[in-house]
Amino acid sequence: MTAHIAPFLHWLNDSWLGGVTREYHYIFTICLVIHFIGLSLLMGGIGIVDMRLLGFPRQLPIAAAMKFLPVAIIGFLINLLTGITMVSYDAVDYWLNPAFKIKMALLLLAGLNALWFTLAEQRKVLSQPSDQKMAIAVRTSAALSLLMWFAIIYWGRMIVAFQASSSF
Amino acid sequence: MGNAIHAAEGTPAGVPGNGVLPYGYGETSMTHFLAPGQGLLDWMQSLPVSQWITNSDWGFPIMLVFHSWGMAAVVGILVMLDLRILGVAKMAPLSAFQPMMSIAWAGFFINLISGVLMFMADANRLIVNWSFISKMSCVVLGGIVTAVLWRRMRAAGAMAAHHSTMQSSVAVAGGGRVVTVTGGDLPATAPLGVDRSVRILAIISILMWSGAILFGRWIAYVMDNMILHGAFAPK
Repeated sequence: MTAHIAPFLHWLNDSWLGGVTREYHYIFTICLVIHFIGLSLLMGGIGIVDMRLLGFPRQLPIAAAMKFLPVAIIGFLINLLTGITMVSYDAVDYWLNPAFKIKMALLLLAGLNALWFTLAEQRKVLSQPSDQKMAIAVRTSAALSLLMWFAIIYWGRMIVAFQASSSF
Repeated sequence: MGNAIHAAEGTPAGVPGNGVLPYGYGETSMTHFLAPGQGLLDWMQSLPVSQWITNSDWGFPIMLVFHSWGMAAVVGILVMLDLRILGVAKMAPLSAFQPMMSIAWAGFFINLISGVLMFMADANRLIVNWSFISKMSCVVLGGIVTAVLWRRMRAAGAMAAHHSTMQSSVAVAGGGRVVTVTGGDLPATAPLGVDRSVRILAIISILMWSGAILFGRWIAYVMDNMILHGAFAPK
């Protein structure tokens, strides 16, 4: 797997984007700020959906909770863009960072989990009475989603802790 | 002279054994107005928990992890409430945010505790950090704006969910066509247009939480002497 990712990282590092972020350092700083605002949108949106699938709050119709998903997707896209920009600053350094690798692996799992829910369960969930308890598979998926997103925040924080010469 | 070298080595006078004060902020004229509180700030930094956060490898990163988790909960839910008022997910009854507020409060207290601990560990520098002061102002204003917004919604009847109404709305939602009516005579689908000030408050709230994140992140760069090391050389 690494063999396929390394050329991509070198390409990203040497791309126009990497050149610009290294020339104007403040782009990195601004991206990091926006990354946290995107995080709040993503976690707020996905949090409401996952909590509701787990049964809380009961008086929120499932269909209404699902309307917050676009907010989560916008937050995710913001973080994808700012994330790629920050990685382009020094892509190889990121790939050597174990926390970054774990974060990316968790992102992949969270994505697969969301994909499975969307393809296999979303229609069923929307058509069942809102006061009925969700299937165990749906509740497991929602709980895993919450856990993985909080773990992604944890490992995102750890990226800097693993970098030798960084203050925060 | 001797003092200056001392400060550069990270042990300014009056801050015993604290290894993270390389610039000796506590001694400069910037803080003379804090003189009466100086003992308190020094005392905070001398506490064992402050020393642990400052000197251990994991103390500070762990505090920041909790601070980020708490932020996801409190800012996440409060911004979703603001967006709902501004017209996102109109079919969601506003009263559904009442139970969710417990999650927002939990996030707030996680951040209060981790924030106070991080402040105590570096009190002398933070008290004069303009970005820290701006962040705290945003948090306080965001809290006040949210409280006012909440009271106005309650006054408008959006929170008083009658039980019978609630049950029927849930039943209708089951069919995917939601015509929810929550409490009073106020349809949940109306974007509270009756009171434009609530929408303005929601916009201010989003700005305050974004500002808190912006200035919160910026604290480190101000500490680092931003122009030389921080914002313009992140690594």
